[in-house]
Parts: sequence; C-alpha cells; structure tokens
Amino acid sequence: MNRLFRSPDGQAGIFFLGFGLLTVFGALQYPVGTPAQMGPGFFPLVLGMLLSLVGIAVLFQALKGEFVAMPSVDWRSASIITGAIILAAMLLMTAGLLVAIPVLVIVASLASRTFNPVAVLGAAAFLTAMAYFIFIWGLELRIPLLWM
Amino acid sequence: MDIVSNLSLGFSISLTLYNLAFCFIGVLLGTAIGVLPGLGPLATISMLLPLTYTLEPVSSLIMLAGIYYGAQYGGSTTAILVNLPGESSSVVTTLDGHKMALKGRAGAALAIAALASVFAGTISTAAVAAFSPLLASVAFSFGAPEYFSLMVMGLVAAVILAHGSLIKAIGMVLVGLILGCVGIDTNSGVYRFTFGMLELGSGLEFVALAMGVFAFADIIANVAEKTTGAPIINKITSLWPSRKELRDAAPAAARGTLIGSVLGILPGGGAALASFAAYTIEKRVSKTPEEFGQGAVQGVAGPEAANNAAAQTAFVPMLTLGIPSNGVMALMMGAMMINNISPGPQVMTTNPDIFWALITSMWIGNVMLVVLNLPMVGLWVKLISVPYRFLYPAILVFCVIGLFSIQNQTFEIYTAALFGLFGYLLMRMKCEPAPLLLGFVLGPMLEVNLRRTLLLSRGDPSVLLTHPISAAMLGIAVLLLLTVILPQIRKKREEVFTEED
Repeated sequence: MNRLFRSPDGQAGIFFLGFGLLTVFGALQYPVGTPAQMGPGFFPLVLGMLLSLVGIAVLFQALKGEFVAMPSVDWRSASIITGAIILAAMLLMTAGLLVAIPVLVIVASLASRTFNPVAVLGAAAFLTAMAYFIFIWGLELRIPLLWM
Repeated sequence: MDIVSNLSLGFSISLTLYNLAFCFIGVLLGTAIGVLPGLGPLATISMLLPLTYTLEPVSSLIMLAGIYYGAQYGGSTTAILVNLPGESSSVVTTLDGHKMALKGRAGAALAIAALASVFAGTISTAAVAAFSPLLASVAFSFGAPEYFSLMVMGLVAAVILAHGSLIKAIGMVLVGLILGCVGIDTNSGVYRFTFGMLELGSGLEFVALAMGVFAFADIIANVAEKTTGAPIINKITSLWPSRKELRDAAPAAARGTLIGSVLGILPGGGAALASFAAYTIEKRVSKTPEEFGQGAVQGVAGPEAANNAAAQTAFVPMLTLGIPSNGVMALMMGAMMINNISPGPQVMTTNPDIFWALITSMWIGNVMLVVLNLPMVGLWVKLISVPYRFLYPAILVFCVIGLFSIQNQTFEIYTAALFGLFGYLLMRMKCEPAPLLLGFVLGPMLEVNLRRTLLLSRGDPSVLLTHPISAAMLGIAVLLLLTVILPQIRKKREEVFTEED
C-alpha cells in the first residue's frame, strides 16, 4: 500500500484518476450532445475520460516501478503561508490595506526558520510603506486604506 | 524593403521615452530576479500581470519580455559568484563559471557571459524578425482542423521536451485543459463547473492560477530550506577577459546562439533546455573536454549564448501561431489576452505596431542589459545577499495587492491561495506546473476549434486526417510520442536530464 499512497507516482495517479472521474461526473450534469453538435458537457467529458486513463497508467507505473519515498508534507509552511494570504484577503476589505499588509508580513514570517521580531517589524513597516507608495500613490489603485 | 519599414515602425514606438522606460524597468527587474535564486521569471511575470491592466499593451509586453530575457543575464551572475543557479537556465553555468571564479577569473566569466548573451540576443532577434512573417503567412491559410492539430502538436511537443515524467506531464496538460473549461460555455451559455459562484462565470482567473502554482507554491516548498544559512560570494577583481579567453569563447558563443535559436522556437524548448544542449555540444566538439567542469570558458559562453537566444526565439510560435512554447510564453499570451489582443497570425496584420515594437525593444533591451550587468555588477552582488526571509514576504505583498486589483475584489486572492496549496501538493508528486498552464491557456481555443471542425464535417473526425497540413501535424505529434516511448531514445533523454541534475 505504501507504493500507492506514499510515492509521488502513486499519489499523482490517485489524483489524476480522482480528478478525471469527478470531471466525467460533472460533465454529465450538462448536455453532452453529438460530435457534430457538441453540448457544453462534451469536451470536459472527453478530457475527464482521458485524464482517468492517464491516472490508471500512472498508478501502474507506481506499482511496477521502483519505490521512491517522499518527504513528508511541510504542513507548517503550507498552513502558515496559505493562512497568511487568506487572512490578508479577509482584512483587506474589512480593516484596510494598512492593517492587512503588516499582518500578512508578520504572519508569513512565522514560516521562516530564523525569526527576528525587530527585523520582521521593520520589514512589515517597510513593505507597507512601499505598497502604499507604489499602489495607492503611484498607480492610484482604489484599495480601502483603513476601516475608519 | 518590407522588413526595413516594419523595423522602423517598431523602433518608432519602442524608442519613445515611455516605452524605453518600461523596457528599462523590465530588464532591470529581470536582472534582479535573475540574480535572486528564490525568484524566477514565471513568478515575477505572474506577479506583474495585474499591472498590465493599467498599462498600454505595447508597454506591458515590452516590460514582461524584458523580464524574461533579462533574467537570463542575471542568472549567470549568481551562478558564477555563488555557485547557485539564479535561474534554471543557468544551472550549467555553475559548472564552469564558478570554477573560473574560484581561479580568480570571476570578472572575466561575468564579462564572457554578458558578451555571449548580447551577441546571441542580437542575432536571434534578427531571426525572430525574419522568420515570424514567414510563419505567420503560412498560418494564415489555417482553418479550424489545422488549428486544432497544431495545438495538439504544440502540447505534445511541449510535454515531451519538458523535464520529468512524460505521462505525468500529459496528465498535467489535461488538468489544465479541464480547469480551462470553467466558466460560461460560449456556445450554449451554460455555466460550467462554477459551483454557483458568479465570480467564476468568466472562468478561473489566469493570474490567480499562475501566481498560485508558481509564486505561492514555490514559497511553501522553499521557505523552510531557504531561510537557513547565507551564501558565500566570490570576489571580482578585473572584468576584462584575456585575449585567449575571448578567442576560445567566440566560436562557442556562435554555436550556442545557433542551438539556442533553434531550440527556442520548438514547443517545450526555451532557455533551460537550450543551455543544457549547448553545454553538451561544447563538451563534445572541444579538443580538451577534460577542461570542462574545471573552468572552461567555452562552458560559460556556449550555454549563456544559448539560453539568451532561446529566450528571444521562444516568442516566435507565440506571436505567429498563438502557441506558447513554455510557461513564460503562456503568461505572455495571457498578458496579450488581458489587453484584448488574441495571439495568432493576425497579430502581425492587426497590431503590427505591437509586434514590431516588441521585437525592436529586444535589441534595445539587450544593449541596456550589458550596461546594467557589467559596470553595475557590484550592485547585483549586494542583492544576492538579501536573505530569503525578507524576500518572500515582499513577494506575498505584491501578489496579494495585484490579485485584488484585477477586479477590485478578494475572490482572486482566495483562488490563488488555494492554487498555491494545490501547486505545492503537485510539486511533491513530481508533477510540473508549467504544462498545466499551457493546457489552461490553450484549452478554450482547442475546444472552439474542435467544435468548429466537427460542426463543418458533420461530426466526422476524419477531416483531421484528410486535410494535409492537419494530418502532417498530427503525424508529427504521433512520431514525437513514439520516439519517446521507444526504449532506446528514452534512455538518451534520461541521460540528458540526469546531466542536468
């Protein structure tokens, strides 16, 4: 089972097969039509079937080939970076740019292996000022600045 | 005479102060991100795509192109001085360039790299100017079946020349094609795969997808490793190469230019592949192959000429056929579509100003790059020492604001964040994200042309084979696939790529 779930090929095969089958299922919710008069479901249906076949081929390769172990998922980095981006998006419309950018920089910096609070605060201030001058002052983008 | 009037039209636009400024910004940024090992042209161009909404189309294309070929210059600086490839295309430059630096010839290596690059850039841009109109005039006679087959051939070739597993690259193209289906179907008006989200009506945002899989995924994958330790930078003494070094470098640069120009045009080619091929060939033609890896000047000149030549000729299929040959060209195509220019042979007749201004700007940009890279090399050395822990928050800030500015809404930021996570998981499965982007860009066009083909033939797919040009292109696609599947050639391909690692 390790070969299937813990090798790059195994996981890729499962992903391709799963995504392909989901696409087939989704495409069948729309009219498929005929080759001469294709409906909206036709093209994705064909793609989904092809991808499922590719998925099966990759799975075979995983079972047959040499087992290559994968490094474990770096959940720490993944969740901090993704979380920082989502947090910034939520703050951008509610609290404004001048809050969202420092929060983005500070939270994202937690993913670094060397964390120096003074340097991070300095970077946050610098990047916020730069964002303000480039995007608000220079390019005149309309972004909420501060909730007040 | 025609080409003269075209070029003068191009220069009349690219030499305006406004466009010169954007060309300069492009090559400056390109050099900077080329120098920085943590940031490549893919991430940078996707980061700057939202800006192109506010700029003139010509200026934004000139700037984005400058980033791509500028990165080829910058990448060699880091390769030579720190033994880290600033760009994937300068991996081979580390082999001999860094050895030269260890021998105290860092300045000479930098000078050779820059001179070989500018030589290659000048020649290959002339090739682009000469070949593009020819190719475009052929493409004008294309109907829907020819276009469909051309895109299939382009995707197959791109997949074959791509690094890594063939079958997984095909899978990634298909995933990209499927993601391209999201949005309102133009023929029926049906909302496909939008899951009730109105924002998805116009399809997944190209910029969000590109930023997610290139910029965000890359940060997630590298943040732990790259925030430890600092690089050791070699000293530069004199920038002047010796007479012997120049004599050895010149023929290598000429060969590199030729190889790079050819490989750049091929779908799936591009700068990285060209530099590997050039290095292999230099080693083979050399009378003293044992010097390679010990600081052979040909090992710097050849690959550096090749990667720059390829970075310019890669524009040919994108500009003339509307087929992106690699990830960066897919982004350039996206930039054109954002500005309502649909890439293809008609660009040359409907927007000759844009086409020729872009080409002439490459000459100007290459000249700027030599000035930027040689006398100012000290500045770039300082940039290498900017730690990644400051770099990646800056990338995130630019991306987040850029994503917001596309539609003045946060939907695209969330989309990109999810694609970042998705792209990271794909990287772990050893699936390259570039084929996904190619599929995504070509998907809608592939579908439209397939529909048109089969509508005209009343559902009979054999037209794809009875039209000679279409049949020839599908034949090439099949042949290409066969060559890879046949064991002997597959072994060769693996050899080429293991040298790369």
